[in-house]
Amino acid sequence: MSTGNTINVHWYSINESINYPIDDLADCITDQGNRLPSNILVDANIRWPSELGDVVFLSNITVNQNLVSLVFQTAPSIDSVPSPSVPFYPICVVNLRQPVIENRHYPVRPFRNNVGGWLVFGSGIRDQSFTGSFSAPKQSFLCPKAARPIRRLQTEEISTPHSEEVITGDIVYLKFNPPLYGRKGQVVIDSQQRDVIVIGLDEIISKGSSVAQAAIGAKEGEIQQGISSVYHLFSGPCGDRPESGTCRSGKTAIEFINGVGPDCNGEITIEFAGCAQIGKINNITSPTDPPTSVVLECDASSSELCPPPYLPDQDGILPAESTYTPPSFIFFDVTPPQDSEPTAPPNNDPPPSFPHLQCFTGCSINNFEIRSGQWTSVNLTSSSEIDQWRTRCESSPPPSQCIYQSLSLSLPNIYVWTADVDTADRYYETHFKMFLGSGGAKTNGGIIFNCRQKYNNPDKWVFHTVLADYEQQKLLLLFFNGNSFSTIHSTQLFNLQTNKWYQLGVQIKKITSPSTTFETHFQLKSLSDNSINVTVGPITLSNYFNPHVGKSGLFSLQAKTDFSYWFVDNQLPL
Amino acid sequence: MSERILYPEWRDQNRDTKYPFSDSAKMRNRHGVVIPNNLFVDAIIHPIGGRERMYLSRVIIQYDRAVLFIGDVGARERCFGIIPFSGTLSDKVELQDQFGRPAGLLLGSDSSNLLNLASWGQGSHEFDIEDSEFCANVCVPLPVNGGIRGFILEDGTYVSGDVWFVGENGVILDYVTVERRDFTAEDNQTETLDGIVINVVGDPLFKRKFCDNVFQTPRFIKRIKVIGPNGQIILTPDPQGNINFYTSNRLSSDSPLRLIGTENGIIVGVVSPYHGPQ
Repeated sequence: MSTGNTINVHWYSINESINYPIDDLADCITDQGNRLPSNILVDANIRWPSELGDVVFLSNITVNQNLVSLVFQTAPSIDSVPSPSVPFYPICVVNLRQPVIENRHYPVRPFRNNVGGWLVFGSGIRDQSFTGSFSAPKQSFLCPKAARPIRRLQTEEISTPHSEEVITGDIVYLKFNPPLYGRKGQVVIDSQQRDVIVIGLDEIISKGSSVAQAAIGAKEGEIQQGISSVYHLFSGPCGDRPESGTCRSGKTAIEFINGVGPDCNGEITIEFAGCAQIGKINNITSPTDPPTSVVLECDASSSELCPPPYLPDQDGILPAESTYTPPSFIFFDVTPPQDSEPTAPPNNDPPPSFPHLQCFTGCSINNFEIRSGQWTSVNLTSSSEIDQWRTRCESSPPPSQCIYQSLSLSLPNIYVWTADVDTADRYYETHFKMFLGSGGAKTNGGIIFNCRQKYNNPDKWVFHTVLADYEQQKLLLLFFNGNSFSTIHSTQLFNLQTNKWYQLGVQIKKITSPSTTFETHFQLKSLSDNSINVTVGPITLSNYFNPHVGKSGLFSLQAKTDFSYWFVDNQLPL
Repeated sequence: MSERILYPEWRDQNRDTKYPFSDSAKMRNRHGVVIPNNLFVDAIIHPIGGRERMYLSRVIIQYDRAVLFIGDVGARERCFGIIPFSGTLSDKVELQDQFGRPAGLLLGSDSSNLLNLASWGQGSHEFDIEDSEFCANVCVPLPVNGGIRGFILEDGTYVSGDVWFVGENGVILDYVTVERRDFTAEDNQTETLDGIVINVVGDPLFKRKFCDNVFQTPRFIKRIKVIGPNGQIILTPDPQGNINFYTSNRLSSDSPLRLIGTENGIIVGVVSPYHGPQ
């Protein structure tokens, strides 16, 4: 019969009977020839910077009834022997007064930075005395499980130049004063997505804030003096870029002369004819440079333009009776390049008959084309939303009504009727309703006319528009040259409101005598009340070039606006 | 005749011993909650800044998990690990510190033993150092002042590891080397340090940034080609940016030509006895 007997020995108890934490390869024999008892030191964990050596060994031990003292040194390798050329570094010590408690961690006292660890003593600490020294690591080095060097971190400290303050902590708190900010982000660097700390300037914090203005050090009133952004402020006096429209003075280079821009090389041509003669003034300081000034002369005298200075003249005629005509000059009708537009209806359809009316019944819309922005049809069912004043379409409000709505809040919304081939002698009318914009959106609505491609850039549109602008409380006549708006006329309004239906009519009339010009009238009426009833005109359109074949239609500028019908007539009511 | 297993494997050897807990650990708290010897068979615990006598300080049992906290003589919660009671079971409990940095590993004898913690009952079970102290060799000392290991931003975000600094929105960063004089040294030696310079340079193109989808670069007039009956001249601005138009009476002593500058342009005309400049 056999008796089962399984003994489970705990960690420190096991180590009392073996050399651990001294390595198996160490002989544990002191310089005095005594063997280190295995039950004094039963566990350890020590770390030290690797530049001090690869191994650590017990160099001295004293255990008696009063104290326990151990000294540890590092050495380059197990086989190192002490010599002037091979330094051994004492790195830590443990000095304890008895009684020392078994199986408890006791921290070492480091002699150098970044050295740390703890020891555990066994039963040999209390019932025996032992003293010995070890001069070579081979006698008493600790096994790697109990003692390993550590690699120093790459960044040991952070400081600023000329400062004695040094940050050496484990974790550094980063604080950014406005308008600087810091955030954690992810950026692909060297084809790897990495966590990064992103530092930038915060426009939102700074813009328009007097506190932020003080924080960023802007002088009093500096932001009002043309510095419109914190990015602008920190870009310095040489940070103005005319091409980006950031010149502080507000002055910038010339883009157009009479609406005509330069060619791709930035060159624009001015031609003088008739009696004109041109001459250049050379640059005196650098004659090889192109001239910067031109002299205009006319090879004629005033006397040639004046009647003979006789009163009466030799024919007895007084000036008031004079039939004298000045000598004729040759005039060249310099016509700028024309913006192009097809001159025929789409799909070879016959020209439309007038009056023309589209009420968007069933959300159908004929011969309309979106040239910019975004448009959609909306079926209104609420009586509070329906355009109840659409008398051209029906005498009484229907239960539902389809309208067209501009949607883009970042682009001009242009929806033109392509069936017409002329924009002269036309009257356009629509009802529209504006909505309060949010998030950068604008609030306006209007009629666009003579919209055509820019002659030198088919991606751009040139047009006129009559626009009711809620933010400005103005009724505007604008010309867009493909790059920017210019205001031809503005009328101040009062109490222009959102969520109300308005009627807008625009008329363009061609004047043929004494010369061909174009005049416009336009009218804005409030439909739910009589708060607005404005008629403007006549206003001459100087940029209404022949052959005036652009398209006309519905328009809003970065705004959500409803339009309930489209009416065109060649009879002019205004 | 007695029987002994002489050469057990590592896990088998430790399954029935207190290891990785200390021999002197009581393995139970003052309320009688017992830590089974076979709960863990090995461990490595290395929280940054950890001190001596690390121990299992607190076990919080929730309906779906157990949270184990490791403390030491300096702090009761130096790092923690989570044992989920559902999903994929594992015999490893990964430890992390409050910033999410790895702080070690507890190795259970098997995953089902870890689930037995659920039987302790929901709540917080506290232990003292004497109850659950770990062996010294599983507790790795890592000094707190050994160098920079991470950054905390103002919103509490922690960034560690291979940290990159990136500039944006008007800030650019540059790497430089800086000479620093050591005034404490007798010979005032200088040392060369690596440095990061944060340049706040603004952004001259900020309008393009704000109006990304509608901004169009203007095309300015750089030259004016003047054509007349007697030839052509190409004009460029002078150093002040001006192009000048003049008239002269060289060809005619009483030239009718007039150039009149206005706020926004130039009127070119001839003098008529009837209508003034035309």
